[in-house]
Amino acid sequence: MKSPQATFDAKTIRKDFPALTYCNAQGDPIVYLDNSATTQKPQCVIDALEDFYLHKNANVHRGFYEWGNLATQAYEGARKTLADFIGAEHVEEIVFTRGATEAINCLAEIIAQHHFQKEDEVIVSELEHHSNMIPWQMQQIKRGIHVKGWQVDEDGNLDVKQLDQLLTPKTKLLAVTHVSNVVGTTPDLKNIITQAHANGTMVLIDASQAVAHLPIDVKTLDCDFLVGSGHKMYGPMGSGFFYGKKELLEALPPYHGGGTMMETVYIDSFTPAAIPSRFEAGTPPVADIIGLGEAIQYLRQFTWESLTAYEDKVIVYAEHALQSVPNLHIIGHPQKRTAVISFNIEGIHPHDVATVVNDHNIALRAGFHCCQPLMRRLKCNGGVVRASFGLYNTCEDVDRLVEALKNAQSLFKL
Amino acid sequence: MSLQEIYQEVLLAHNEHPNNFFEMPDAISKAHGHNPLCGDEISVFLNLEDNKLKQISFTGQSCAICKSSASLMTEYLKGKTADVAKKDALAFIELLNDPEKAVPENLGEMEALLGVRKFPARLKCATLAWHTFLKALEQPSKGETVSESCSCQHNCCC
Repeated sequence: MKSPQATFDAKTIRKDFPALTYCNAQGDPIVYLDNSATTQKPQCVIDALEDFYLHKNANVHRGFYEWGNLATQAYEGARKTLADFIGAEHVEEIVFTRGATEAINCLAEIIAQHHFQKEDEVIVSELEHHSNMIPWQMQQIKRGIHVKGWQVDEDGNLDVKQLDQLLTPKTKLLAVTHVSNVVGTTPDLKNIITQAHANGTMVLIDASQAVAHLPIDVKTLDCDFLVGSGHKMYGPMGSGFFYGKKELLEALPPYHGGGTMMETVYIDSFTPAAIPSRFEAGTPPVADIIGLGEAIQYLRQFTWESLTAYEDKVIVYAEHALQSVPNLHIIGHPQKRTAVISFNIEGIHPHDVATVVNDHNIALRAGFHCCQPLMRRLKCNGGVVRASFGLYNTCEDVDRLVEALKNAQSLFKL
Repeated sequence: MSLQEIYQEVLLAHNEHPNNFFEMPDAISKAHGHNPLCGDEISVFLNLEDNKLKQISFTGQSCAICKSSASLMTEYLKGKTADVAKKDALAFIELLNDPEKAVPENLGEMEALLGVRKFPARLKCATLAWHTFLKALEQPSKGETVSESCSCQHNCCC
């Protein structure tokens, strides 16, 4: 691999993403600001998918022929790439899934099976996406545990002092996001994890919104579990993963039953396979996982210093530029913001804002963003408009957005 | 497909000054409609006298399309018998859902809503009030219900 580039030039980078050349019927080039929902894919990721289906389409861990070997090598290569990317000590600490939602559902079930007793508690923060809430609520129904909410303040920040009050001897797990998909809040995880561990509480981090934007080192963080989504880090849809500390994963039971997850099978019993295969029953999305590995290689050509410096510059610019729009209110004021800004404009419903800016070929999202409890807390009962950024977004994209928002105001005679 | 097609002046005016936008405490029936994905929320209130819609009103927090559609709906249905109102509501939902369908001549201002037929992502915004009305009509009670389904034949219920 080439050594990472210390300089970062978004204009050059945009050429790696063929979808960004799209223009609408009026000739306006696309401004893609829905990266929290999914990112666009660089050509190398698209090529990796095509290469798999053209030259190594075989199932993994089974074939005795050339393609089978190639597919297995590429799939396991992606595991090694991902382990290095997030600083996992052991490659078998990485389990591939079809997305972050599947990862959390799997973990919630197997952690609950092994660790939870009736009346135990799980804390979830109000910043969480529904996918890091509902799987725990389902365990509440199934096993009689209690799900407790960790409130955010009006700025969308989490207060560590409050966590102290929530933790009890019965608190088995804390589920918290690395970056909020609505407010962009980036909690001080190191501090949070230390505090939870002091109480004997395990911590699961939802890094779906973080992996493409921030360096993650699971050893430094000392988190017990961490999940991520491939398609939000320039990889294919249908790819995701979880990390778990080796000794924790080794104690957990399998999730789905099927091929790969077992060692010996009798007509009435089986013995589970070692990790990570134990949690990867059935044919995995091989091409998508290989594509995810390719997306990580793509990201690794940049130093984190240059990438985060650039993305911070654009988000700070966006925050200032949006504030210049009359009657626009930015939702939440996180102590540290990553990649996302949500806002509302007085007198125009979020849907109408999104429809009007679409006319300018600007893609962004309006609504609840799978965060109904957070919307309620922030008193945004009609939802919010969200602009979420990727490494290819520029300050010019922000200018186009601001112009389109002013146009929405004039259309609505505001 | 231009913005003027969906945000016609008529709709923007109804959005700014909606008709029959109030809560009816003595309503004989009310229903609550909600699109959980995008957040449109609406309540429809009815009062029937001699099987006629004596009063119809709505409240809620919703986008311009949803709100103007609700406002136009209340005007369109007021005074009709329950049976006719139901038939007309179903026919209008049908019309919104099918861009090929010929536009009847007696729609008046409601014709402005048909621009939404070219914006499939906004169709549910336009139909929510109508589904909620049908729900209120089908369940004449004071209990609030979520309009998850109604008697229309489409998959457009929110």
